[in-house]
Amino acid sequence: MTDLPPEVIIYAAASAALLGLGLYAFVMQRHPLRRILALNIMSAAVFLILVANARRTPDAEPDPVAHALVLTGIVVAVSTSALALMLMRRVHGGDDAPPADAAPPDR
Amino acid sequence: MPADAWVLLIAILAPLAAAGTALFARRGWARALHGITPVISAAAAAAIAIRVIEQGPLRYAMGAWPTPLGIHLEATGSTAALLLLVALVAAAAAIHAHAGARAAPADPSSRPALFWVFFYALWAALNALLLTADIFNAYVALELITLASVALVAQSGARECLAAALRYLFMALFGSILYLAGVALIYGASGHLDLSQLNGTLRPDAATWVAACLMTTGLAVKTALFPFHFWLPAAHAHAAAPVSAVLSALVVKASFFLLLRLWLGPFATLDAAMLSHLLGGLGAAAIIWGGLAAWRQHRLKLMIAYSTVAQIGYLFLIFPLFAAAPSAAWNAALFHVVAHGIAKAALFLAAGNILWTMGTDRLGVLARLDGRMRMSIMAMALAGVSLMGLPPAGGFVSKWLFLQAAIAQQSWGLAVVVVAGGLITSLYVFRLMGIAMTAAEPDGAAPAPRRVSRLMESVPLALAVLAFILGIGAALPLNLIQIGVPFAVAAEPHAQASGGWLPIAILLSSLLPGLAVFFLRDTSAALRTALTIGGAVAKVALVIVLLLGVHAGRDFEARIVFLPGLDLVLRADPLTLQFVTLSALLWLITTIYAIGYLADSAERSRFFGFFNLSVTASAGIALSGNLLTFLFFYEFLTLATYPLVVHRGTRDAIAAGRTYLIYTVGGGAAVLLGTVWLHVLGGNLDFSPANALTALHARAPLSVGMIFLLLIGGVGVKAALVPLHSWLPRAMVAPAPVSALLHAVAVVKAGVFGIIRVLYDVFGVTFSHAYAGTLFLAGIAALTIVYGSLRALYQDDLKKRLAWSTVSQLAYIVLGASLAGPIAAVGALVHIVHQGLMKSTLFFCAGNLAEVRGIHKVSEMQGAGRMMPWTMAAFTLAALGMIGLPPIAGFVTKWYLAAGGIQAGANWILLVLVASSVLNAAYFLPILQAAWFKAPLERARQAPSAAPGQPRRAPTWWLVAPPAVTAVLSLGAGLFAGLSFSPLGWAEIIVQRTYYPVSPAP
Repeated sequence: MTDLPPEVIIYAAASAALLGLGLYAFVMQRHPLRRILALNIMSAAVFLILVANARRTPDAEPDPVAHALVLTGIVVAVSTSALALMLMRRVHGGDDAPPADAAPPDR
Repeated sequence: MPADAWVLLIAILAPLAAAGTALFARRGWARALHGITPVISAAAAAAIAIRVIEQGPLRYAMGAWPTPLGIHLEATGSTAALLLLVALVAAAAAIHAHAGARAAPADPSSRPALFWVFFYALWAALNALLLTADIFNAYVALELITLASVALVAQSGARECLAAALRYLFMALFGSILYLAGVALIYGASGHLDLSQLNGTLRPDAATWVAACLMTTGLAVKTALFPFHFWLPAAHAHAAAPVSAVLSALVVKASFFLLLRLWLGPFATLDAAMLSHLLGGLGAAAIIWGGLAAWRQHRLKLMIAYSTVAQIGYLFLIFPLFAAAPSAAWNAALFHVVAHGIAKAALFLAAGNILWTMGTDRLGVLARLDGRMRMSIMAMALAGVSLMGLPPAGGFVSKWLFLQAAIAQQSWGLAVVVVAGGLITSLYVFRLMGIAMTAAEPDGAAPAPRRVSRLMESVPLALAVLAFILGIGAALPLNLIQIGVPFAVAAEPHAQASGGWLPIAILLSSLLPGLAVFFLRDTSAALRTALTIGGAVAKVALVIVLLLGVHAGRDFEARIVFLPGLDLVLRADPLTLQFVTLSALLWLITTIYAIGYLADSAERSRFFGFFNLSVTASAGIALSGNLLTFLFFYEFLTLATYPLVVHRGTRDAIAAGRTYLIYTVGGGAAVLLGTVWLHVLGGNLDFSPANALTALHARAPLSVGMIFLLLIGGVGVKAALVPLHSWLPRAMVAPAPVSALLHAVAVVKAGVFGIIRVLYDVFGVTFSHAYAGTLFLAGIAALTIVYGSLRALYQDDLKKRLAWSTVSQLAYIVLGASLAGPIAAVGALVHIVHQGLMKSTLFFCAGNLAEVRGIHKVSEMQGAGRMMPWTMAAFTLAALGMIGLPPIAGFVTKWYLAAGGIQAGANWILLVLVASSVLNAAYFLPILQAAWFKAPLERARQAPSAAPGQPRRAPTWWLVAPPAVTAVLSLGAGLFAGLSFSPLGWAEIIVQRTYYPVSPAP
C-alpha cells in the first residue's frame, strides 16, 4: 500500500473511520432513528471509497462508472431509508420517544 | 437479439412487468395477470434450463454494451436449477395467496393489490440476482429483494409484524452495505465488476482479503447464518404464509448462491482454509442450535422458521468440504437448496392453512383438527421427511452427499453433525406428527374453524409430494446443477437391466392401493376392502410369477441412476424370493384379519393406507439389490409403521411411538453412516455373495470394524437384539394386526433379513466366517435368546409375553446367520419363515382373546379353551411349535441350529438352545394348562360385561380363519419339511446355490 499517493490514503482512512463509526453506532444504539442514521453513515463511507476510486490515474479523466455506481447507491440508500423511517413511525406510533420494546424478544 | 437473450430477459422482465401493472389490474384483468405471469416466468425458467442442458452455459451482454459499462447476464446449470425452484415456489405461493384471497374476500388479511406489486417485484429481483454476472448489479438486486421482502412482511399491519419487518430491514441493510463496501474495494483494486472477468484477476493481497471478509459477513447476515440468524424467525413467522414460503425457500438462498459464486470465482485465489473452517463451524452450530430451538417452540410457524436456521447451516458445510471433495460438496449444497426450498415452502403453506382454519398456530391445535385438513397434515409430514433427510425424499440426497464429502475428507466432526442434525430434526417433526395423531377432546372455547379451500390444501401437498419423491429422480437435478462447473461428474446408470417390470409391479401392488385408500372416506368399507385385498392377492400372484421366472433361470432387475456411480436397484435372488414370498403370503392373511379386527373402528382409511405402505416397504427390502436401496426401504418402513403403532392416539400409544422412533430413526442413521463410509472406502454396495472385505480389512481394519458395528447395530435395532430391543415390548399398545405385522411380517424381519444381507452379501460369507465381529454377534444373539425368554417368563400381559418371546426367537435367526456355516445358515433362513408363521398365529389369537372376550392377561386365561376353542387350538399349536416340539415348524429350526453349532465347532450353542427351550416351555405351558384345564374365573361369570371373559362381539370368520390357516401352515412346514418346496427345502436351495457349494445336510 506504500506506493499509493497520499490523498488516496486519506480517502481510505476517512472511509474506514466513517465505516467504523457507523458500525459502532449500529451495534450499540437501540433507538431505530439512530440506527437508521448509522446505516446512512456507513453508506457514506462506501460512497467515499467509490468516488475515490474514480481517480484511477493522476492525469487521466475520472472513471464514469464509479460515479454511476455512487449515484445508483444513493438512490438505493434514499429509498431504503424512507422505508425504514416509515416503518419506524408505524411501529412506534410516530412519537420520537425511545420505544420500550426496541429489542423485543423472539417470542 | 438471439433467442438466448430473450429467455434470459423474459425471466426478469415478466414478473417485473406484472409488478408494474398489478396495482391497476382489477377483477378479470387481475385474474388474467395472476394466471399468466407465473406461467410465463416458469416457461422462461424451463426454456433456460433446456438451453443450458442442450448447449451449456448461456451469456448475454445487455444492450450489447461491453463491460464495465454494460451488464452481462449468465446462466449455468445451477442458475437454471435455482430459476426453476424460484418459479415453482413463487408460482405455488401465488396460487395459494390468490386462493386465500378468493376464499375470504372481505377478510382484512386478504391481499390488496399492493401485495402483488411487492410479490412480483421480489420475484423479478430474485431472478435478476441469480442471472446477473455483475457484482454491483447484484447489489441492486439484493436491495430490491430487501425492499420487497420487508414490505411483504409488513403487509398485515399488525404491530408485531411491523417490528419484525423493521428488524429484518435493519439487518438486511447492514448486510448490503458491507457487501457494497466489498464491491467498492474490488472495483478499486481491479477496475472490474463482472464475475467472469474478476476470475483470476484479483491478487491475494490485503484489499482482496478485506473485500472478501466484508462481503462474506454481509451475505452471511442476509443468509441468516448463525449467529446472525436472530432476525429471521420473527420475520418469517409473522409474514403471511405465501410470503413466509418465499422468504424461507428462496430469499435466504439467493444471497447464499451469490456468496458461493464469489468464493468459487474471484476469491478462489485466496488461501482461505481458516475462513472455510470458520464458516463450516458456524454452519454446524446453526444445525444444532437451530434444530434445538425449533424443537422448543410452541408455535407452528416459529418452529418452521427456526428449522430454516438449521437447514441454512447445512449449506455452509460446503466451505470446509469443498477442498477435498468438490463435486460431492457442490452437489450437496445446491441440491440442498432445491430440496429444502420445496419442502420448506410446503411446510409454510400447510402451516398457513392450519392458522387460517383454526385461528391459531399453537401446536396443540393439531390434536383438535378432528379429521379436517388431512391434506395439509400429510403435506407437513412428507415435507418433514425431507427435512429429516430420510429416503426417498430430496433431503436424503443432500445428506448423503454431505456425509460422503465429510467422510472422504475424514472430517468426523462434520459427519457427526450432519447425522445429529437429521436426528434433531426428527425430534420436532415427529413431535408435530405425534400431536396430530393424538385423539384430543374438542375445545369448546375455541372459535369455530373456517373452511379452507381445496386449492389451498392441494398446493402444499403437491410441493410436499415433489419434495418427498425428489430422492428417486435425483440424477436429473444433479446433472443439471453440474453444468458449467469444472469438477462435474455425470450420473449415469451402471449397467443395463432387464425384466424390471416385475419387481416394480410387486411394489406397486401395495403402494397404489395404499395411496388410493388414504383418500377414501371411513365409511366406504367395501371399496377399501376390495382395494386392499385385491392388492394383496395381486401381490401373491406376482410373487408366484417371479418364483416361476427365477426357477426358470430368468433375471429380474430394475435400476435407476441415483448418484454418480450409484444406482437404486431392485433384483430377485433366491434369498429375496424367500422373504418376499413370506411377506406377501402373511400380508394377505394379516390383511384379512385386520379387516375383521378393525370393523367399525375409527380412522380405518388412514390405518389401511399405512398398512399397505408398510408392506410395500417390506417387499422393497426383500427386493433391494444393494445396500443403498435397502436403506431406502428400511427408512421408509420406519415412516410407514409409525402411524400404525400410534394408531389409537392414546397417551400410551404416543409414548410407545416415540420410543419406537428413537430406536428406529437412530438405527437408520447408523445404517446410513455405515453405508456411506463403506461407499467412500470403495466397498461394493451391491449385494453379492462374491463380495469379501478381506482386502479392505487388511488396509483399514478399524474402519471395517466401525462399519460392521454401524451396519449391524443399525439393522440390529429392528431385529431387537439386546440392548437395542426395548422398543418392541413397548410397541405392544398397537392393535393386534399391527403387532402381527411388526413381529412376523415386516419390521423385525427387515432387521434380521438385513443382518443376513450384511453378513453374507456385503461383508461376504468367507470374510464373515473368519471375522471376529461375527463371533461377537453370535454371543450377543445367545444373550438375547436367554434374556428375552427370561423376561417373557415374568410378563402377565399376554401380548407383552409374546413380545419378549419374539425378542428371543429373532435372536435364533441372528445366531444361525452369524455362525456362518451352511447348516446353521439353513436354520436361520428357515426360521424367518417359521417364526413368522407361528408368531403371527399367536398374535392373531391374542387379538381375538382381547377383542371377543376382553382377555388381556395370562392370569385371565382360565377356561379360554372352552370359550374360544378354535382360537385356542391355533394358539396351542403355535406355542408348542415355539417350544420346539416335533413335528411343528420350530423343531426343524432348532434341529438345524444345533447341528450347525456343532459343525461350526461352537458346542456352547447346544446349551443355549436347551436353556431357551426349557424357558419357552416354562412361559407357554402354564398358559395352555390354564386355558384348557382350568374352569373360567368365578369373577368373570358374575361381573358385568366389562370384566374379562365376557363376550363383547361375535368371533367372525374374519377373525378366526387367519390364525387357523397360519397354525396349519406352521404344522405343515414342519411335517413336510423334507419336500423341496417347503420353507426348509427353499432355505437349503438358497444356501447351496448362493453361499456354499456343499449340500447342507445335518
